[in-house]
Amino acid sequence: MIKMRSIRTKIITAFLIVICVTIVLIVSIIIINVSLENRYKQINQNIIYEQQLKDNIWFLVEDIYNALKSNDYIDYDKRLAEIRAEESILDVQFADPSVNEETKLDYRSVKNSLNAVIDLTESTRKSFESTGNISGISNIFTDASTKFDFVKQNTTDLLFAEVKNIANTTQDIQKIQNLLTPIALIILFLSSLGLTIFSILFARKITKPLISLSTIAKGIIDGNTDLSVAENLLKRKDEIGSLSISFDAMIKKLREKIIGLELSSKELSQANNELGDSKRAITNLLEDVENEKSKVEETVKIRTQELSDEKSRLLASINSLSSGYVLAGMDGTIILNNNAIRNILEVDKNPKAIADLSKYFDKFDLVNSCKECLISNKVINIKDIEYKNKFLRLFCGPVSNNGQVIGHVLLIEDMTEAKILERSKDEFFAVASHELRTPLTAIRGNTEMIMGIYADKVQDQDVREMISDIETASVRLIGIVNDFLEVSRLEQGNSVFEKTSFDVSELITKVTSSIKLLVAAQKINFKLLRPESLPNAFADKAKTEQVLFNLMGNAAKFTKEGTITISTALEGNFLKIRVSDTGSGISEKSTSLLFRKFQPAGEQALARDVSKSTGLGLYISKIITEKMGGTIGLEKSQVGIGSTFFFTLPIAP
Amino acid sequence: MNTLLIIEDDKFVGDMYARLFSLNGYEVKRAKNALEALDILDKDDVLPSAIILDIHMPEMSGTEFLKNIKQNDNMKDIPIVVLTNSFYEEDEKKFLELGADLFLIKIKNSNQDILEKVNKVLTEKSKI
Repeated sequence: MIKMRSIRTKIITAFLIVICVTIVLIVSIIIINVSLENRYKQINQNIIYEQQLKDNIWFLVEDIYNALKSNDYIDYDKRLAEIRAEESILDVQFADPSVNEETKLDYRSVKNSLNAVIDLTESTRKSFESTGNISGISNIFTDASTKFDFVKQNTTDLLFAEVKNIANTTQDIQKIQNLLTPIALIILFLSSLGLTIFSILFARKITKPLISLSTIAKGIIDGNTDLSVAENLLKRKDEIGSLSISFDAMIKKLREKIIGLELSSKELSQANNELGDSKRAITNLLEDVENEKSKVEETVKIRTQELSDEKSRLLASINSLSSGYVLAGMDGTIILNNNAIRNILEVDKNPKAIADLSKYFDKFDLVNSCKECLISNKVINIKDIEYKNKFLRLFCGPVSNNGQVIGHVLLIEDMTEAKILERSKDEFFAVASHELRTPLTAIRGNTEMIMGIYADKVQDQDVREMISDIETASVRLIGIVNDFLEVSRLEQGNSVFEKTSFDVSELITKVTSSIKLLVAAQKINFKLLRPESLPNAFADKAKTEQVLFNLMGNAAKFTKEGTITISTALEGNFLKIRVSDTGSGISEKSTSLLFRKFQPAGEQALARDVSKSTGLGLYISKIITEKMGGTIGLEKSQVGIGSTFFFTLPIAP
Repeated sequence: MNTLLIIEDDKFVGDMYARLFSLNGYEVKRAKNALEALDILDKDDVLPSAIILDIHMPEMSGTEFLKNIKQNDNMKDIPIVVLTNSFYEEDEKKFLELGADLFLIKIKNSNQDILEKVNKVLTEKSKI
């Protein structure tokens, strides 16, 4: 750290010097005055003592005279002690070196005279005490008076001497004062002058650089950045120097800042322009956003209303359901249910949880079924749940949101009436089949006999034809009834399938023979194609025969003249049986309707062929094939060229 | 001459089958229901060569009748041909298991077929 000759230190030093000089001056004047004053007092005191001494000497003589007379020396001793004390003061004064020789001589004289008087009184006393004689007293007094006169003279001399001393002292004081006053005044004047000069010089030394710095600062404020602090200021080692260095550094920094600022200013200006553009863009954007916001708000309002409507509709729908509706969370807590659930289960209170609901069932574990539904994430459909004297049907479907299962919905339907209806339907079919088939049996049987056994008895050609028509019609009616019953049985799952392993080729040969007999009048060539070895099929043989009969019968029906090819092949784990004909074929628009209920296999899809078809053959074949684990379909068909149907059967394990 | 007992509650069907078998050399006896048939079997000294049995009949069903016959040592060997229009597929299996010799659906078989099949059953039985 640089040791600075501080301006403050300088000022303080200057003032301290002036103050010290003044104090010294004042103190010395005081000391001189006090010492002179003391001297004055001392001399005065001396005068008082000497006056007293003079009186006491006289009184001493009187005292000794009185003591001698009264033989009482008390007063005398007292007086003598006082004189001795005063004498000792004289000794002290005598010893004082400041006392001049003349005065000292006076002291000596006084003392000698004093001692002479004392000696006189003392010798008187001694003589009196030894002789008891006061005869010489008058001599004594005369002697004493003489000596006293000396004392008196000497004391007076001394007093004069003292007065002279006073005069001397006063003179001394006068001298000193005469000397001191101008000196003090001169010193004070010089100090003041020095201080003033120092102040002016110093002030100039301080203000000058400050003005210079101030000028620079003003210059900088006015934008003049080229100014710099003078070298001499920078070299100074006081506060000004420090200030200048800092100022200089500040100017340099400022200059850099200004340059930086100018650059920044340019950039700022540019940025400002860009900002202006951006601001405009943002304003436009904000306007757009505001417009969009209004639109969105409007849309949200509409959607909210729609949602609310939707919710009302949904709730109304749920409440109007005849099925029991329950919406439950993952933990089985029931969130929503309709009134129908209480009616169906015949309970008064709304269930709180699936577990509560489950308690009503004796023979069915509802909780477990719900769990199964949630775990598998699939709809579970359970029929024929016995509940009191009812039959219920349960649907349990998971409720998902974004692929996460969050609960499940239960639909419980009262199927009791449907069940009764189903039974009635079964019974109806049973009765109908019996009641319809029985008279038909009689009609066909009788016409068959007329046309056979009694043929020769019916000679009239018209009657013969009529009877033949009756037979044909009855056969067709029987076919219709049988097909109806068959469909009903298959649809209700009442058909019994007995799967066995059998040779399909054998069955094909058998059916072909039957068909050949039926179409003997038509010029049809049958071709059977099969590989050398073929595994057995695993299916219901009688029903396979029915399918085969249906497909081959159709082929024969629509081929007045041509070839019917039945080929068998192994495809994977299935046997594929194809029935191709060179018959009339089916147009593309009709193919989509095949295998549906009441759709005949031929081209007359929509216009019913009144001859033989019930339109149920392919439909029955499809159900049968699928129930046996196979598939059935039309492979290809072209009008005028022919059709190829196929069906597959699983091979025997 | 073979004797047939035809148990058939429907008159027209019964008439037809009676005529069919009569014309083809059978001696035909008829019963309108199973109870009547049991009566006939009780009263007659000679048992029929075969019984043609319908299933769905009032009073006593074909099932019960068949069980009765099979429990009767005298009659248990009489060939039974079930001739019915039953809707139930499972009936065939059931009756064959109960001891019927032949199960035929009336409507699915022509008179000629029925005649041939019954003849065949009787021929086979007579061989034993």
